[in-house]
Amino acid sequence: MSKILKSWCSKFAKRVSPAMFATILVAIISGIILFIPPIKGLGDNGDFYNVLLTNGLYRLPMHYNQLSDYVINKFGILHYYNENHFYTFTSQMISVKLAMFLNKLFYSRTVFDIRFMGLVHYGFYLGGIYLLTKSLVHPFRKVGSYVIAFLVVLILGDSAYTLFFNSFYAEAGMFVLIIYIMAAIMSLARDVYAKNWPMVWLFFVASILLVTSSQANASLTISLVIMAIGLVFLPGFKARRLAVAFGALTIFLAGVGIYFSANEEAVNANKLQAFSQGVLLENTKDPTEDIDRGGVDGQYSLIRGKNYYTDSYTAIKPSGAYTKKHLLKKINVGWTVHYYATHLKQFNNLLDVAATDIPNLQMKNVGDFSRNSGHKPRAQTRYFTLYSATLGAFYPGKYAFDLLIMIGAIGAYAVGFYLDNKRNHYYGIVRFFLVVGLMLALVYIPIYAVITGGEFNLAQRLFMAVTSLNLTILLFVSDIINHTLWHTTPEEDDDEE
Amino acid sequence: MKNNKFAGSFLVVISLLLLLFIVDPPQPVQAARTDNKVLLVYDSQNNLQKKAKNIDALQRVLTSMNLQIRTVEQADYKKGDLNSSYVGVITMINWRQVGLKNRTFITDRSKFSGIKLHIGNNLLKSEIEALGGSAQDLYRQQFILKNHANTQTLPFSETITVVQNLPKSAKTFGTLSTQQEDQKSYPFGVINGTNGYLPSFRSSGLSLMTEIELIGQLFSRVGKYQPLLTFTNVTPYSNLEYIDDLSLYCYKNEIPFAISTTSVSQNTDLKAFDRFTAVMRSVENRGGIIFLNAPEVSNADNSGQTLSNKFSDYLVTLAQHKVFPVGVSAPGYWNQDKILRNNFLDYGDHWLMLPDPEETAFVHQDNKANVATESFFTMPLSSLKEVKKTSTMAFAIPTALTISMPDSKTHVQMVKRELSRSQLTWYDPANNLTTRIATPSTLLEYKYGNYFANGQQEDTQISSSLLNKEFDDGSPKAAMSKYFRVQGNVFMVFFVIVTVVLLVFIYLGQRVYWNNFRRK
Repeated sequence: MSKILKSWCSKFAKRVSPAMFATILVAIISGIILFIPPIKGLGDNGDFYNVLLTNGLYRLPMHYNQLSDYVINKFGILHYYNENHFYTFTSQMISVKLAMFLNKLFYSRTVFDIRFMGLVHYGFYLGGIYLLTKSLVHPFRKVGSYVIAFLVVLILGDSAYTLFFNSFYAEAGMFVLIIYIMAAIMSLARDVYAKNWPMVWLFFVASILLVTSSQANASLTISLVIMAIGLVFLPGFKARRLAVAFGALTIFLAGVGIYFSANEEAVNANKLQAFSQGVLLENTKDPTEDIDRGGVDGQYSLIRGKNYYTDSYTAIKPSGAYTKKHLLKKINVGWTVHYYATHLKQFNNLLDVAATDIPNLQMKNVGDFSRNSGHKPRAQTRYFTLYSATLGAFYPGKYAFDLLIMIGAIGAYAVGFYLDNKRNHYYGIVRFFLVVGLMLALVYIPIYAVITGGEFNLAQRLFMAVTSLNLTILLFVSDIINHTLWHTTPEEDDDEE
Repeated sequence: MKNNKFAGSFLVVISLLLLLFIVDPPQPVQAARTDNKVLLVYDSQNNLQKKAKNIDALQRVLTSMNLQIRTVEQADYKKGDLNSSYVGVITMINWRQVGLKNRTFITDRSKFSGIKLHIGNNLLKSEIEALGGSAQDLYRQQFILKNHANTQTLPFSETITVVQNLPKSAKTFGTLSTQQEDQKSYPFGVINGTNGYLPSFRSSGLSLMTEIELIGQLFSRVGKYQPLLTFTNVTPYSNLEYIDDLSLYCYKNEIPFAISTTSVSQNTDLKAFDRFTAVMRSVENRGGIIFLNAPEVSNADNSGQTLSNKFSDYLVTLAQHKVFPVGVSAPGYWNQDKILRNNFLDYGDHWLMLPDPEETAFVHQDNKANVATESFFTMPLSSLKEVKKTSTMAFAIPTALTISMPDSKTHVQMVKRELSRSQLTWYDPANNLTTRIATPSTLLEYKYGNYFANGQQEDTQISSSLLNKEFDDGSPKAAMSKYFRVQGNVFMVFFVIVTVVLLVFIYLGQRVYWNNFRRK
């Protein structure tokens, strides 16, 4: 029996590589929710507005005006000149324009089907999954390799991620790009390909696109530059330091550029919410006098918990001249940092709130189904969400735990770094910088998110933090299975090389 | 058959009885008058020249005259809209190049026998005949308006139509004179019987006052009202020092005044709200009255429930802090909107109608304005610069002269100077006013300076320390948070110890592992 099984397995392994295995699995699993009606996706929490405006799309008139309750399948394509096409400039435009091109080619010149957005994301995503799985299992085709491939499917094929594809959220593109970034680094670290330069290019292009995919991603610059440092240690890469430095500088400049390209309205909205849903929250005492002492009229503590756009009736217009003069002009990132520096306990409380939001990958405040599907408003799908649901159930909501994970992971990979540094290998070194970059993202994105926007829409703004965590978990488990956590070149493979 | 009839009538009786129980206790509904409906038809809003503000001002003037105004753009006018249920019709031309085009309306109007007022250019022949004079178009001139020994220089006008050679039965209001040397003068407003004419409409200054005078005469709604001094644009976020300073100034100079302020429905447990209400209480104690101002509208959902809930919350939280609004204030367009009117304005019987902001945020516009027991027409005090403000000056309709709450110390000083210069005799609510605001759960009344909540007289002279005690919600919350804090720290220490132990083990393990190799 076992012989038959073994021969069958080896046949399977010959025909289907682990990378192909993972790709086929995610293609089926995510293809079902994205393209087979009734399709699933994500409702609009207000983020679509800018994307639609910038790309010459518009909402088709509807009687139902709660945009967040259900997935909207169809949008209109503007025919006349779009005066707002540089309203916000992000790399997300590339994927939207590509989707619109395909839509016009195969479907309609007037109506846009959201599934073309899904198709574009899906295509790039499958490529990313293939490259990443290949880089994680190379050069093996053992049972363990298929286990790793399956883990890739379980973690990165989770519906919490793939639902983003049928939407205009920037997160879809960010997710696909970080997969490519990790695949590029791991391919370089493990010598998957004969030539290095394609993967180096892939890393930098994907990094720049990632940083510029939304204004908030400017903060990822730090992580990506740290990851780039690892590339300096690659061999046979002429003038590599200069090239890598140039690449890192480009990432940095892209980050700075996108940060300052934010329009005034968006900046004001973030400022106000950083104040109303950050500075004024989680304070055990009455914030009125604390605000007074900070140089802002204490009466502004009454704005506690308010949103910039979505409150129907307010005592004062958040975007009005009075608020601008007496609140928004007085507060900025520097002011907020200073406030938190003098209210550390409150800041810690806010970070703990952020920590409870870390595992909330699936967007809970918007619906996953279309309106004719018979589901309740804002209903959540449970299809293939085992990983995200488990993480949500067991991840503790303390910021200190995030810190511990960071220390633990960096500590674990520091061993490989130390050993490879001694032996003049680069695998452990490149991988170490990858892990440092990912783990720093887990730790500083909550800080950045709280300072720049308070608790407003926090779970969504922590998307890259939890994705970094998931990628690190994936890397860690695959290293355990490959026996490469500390000794990057296992004894038995030394002979082969 | 008989049975059926009996059952039917029985059902009707039962449902009527049920209705009696279901329907809320009757609120102070304005006596249903049949002689107060007016139709306003305009040619265009003329957004280019921002004439919508004239429509708004006219609507507010009519509301203050207790005229129920229905507004229709000529394109939306349908045959028979103007019928005998209206006492009058007003035609307003905002854009000479557009003018009246709707034939149906022109026919209906010519058949209409009630009061007719024409405002603006494009007088029809029949209208001129009704006024009983001859019309003349004057081009590209600047006029000086004179009325009651006051003068105002009007801005340059392209074309203006004046009516001259009037019969003796006609009454004129104000005169327009040219600035040329020969100083020709023409009548400004004209009334002949039930027909009235105003060559132009301006929403400020002497021309507005003359317009009000004419409209009041035409609809026989002329009264004598002293102006109410009102500070507007107050919010809980305003600089409280300035409010306090100004209210003290008014108190010391025996100037009665009103404040139109918004409120908040949340975060009323904060000190900031205590401070705000403390200042509002001192306003009440210094002879000021408070109008609850309409909140800013954005992202409105279409149910009025949100707004009416907010309104109740505002009232309850303010009343808990012994702040009792006597009426409501809102921009004019709130009266033209079904949702905004029904769920906010209609709760009060005294309104303060403010000019529309640059951008209006209608929720469900219906252009069917309601009236209150009394509604104050507002105009900025500064808009009367050219008008002599004597101590006997009175207005034809209930009027509030507004000052926007100053935003800096120098502005406060300027406002004080402006007040000290004006000779006006201000309206004193404590001598004249009784009002009520009624929601299904709360009834606030104001009677000659005294406040009543749900029928009980209230004392506004209560110190804030007493209030704070009244509304303190105790300390158990603090005890619990302490517990969680301690628990959190215990966990932290635990994790740190575990990490340290782990690191030590890792180090030891490494050494053991390497030593194994060395021996080999």
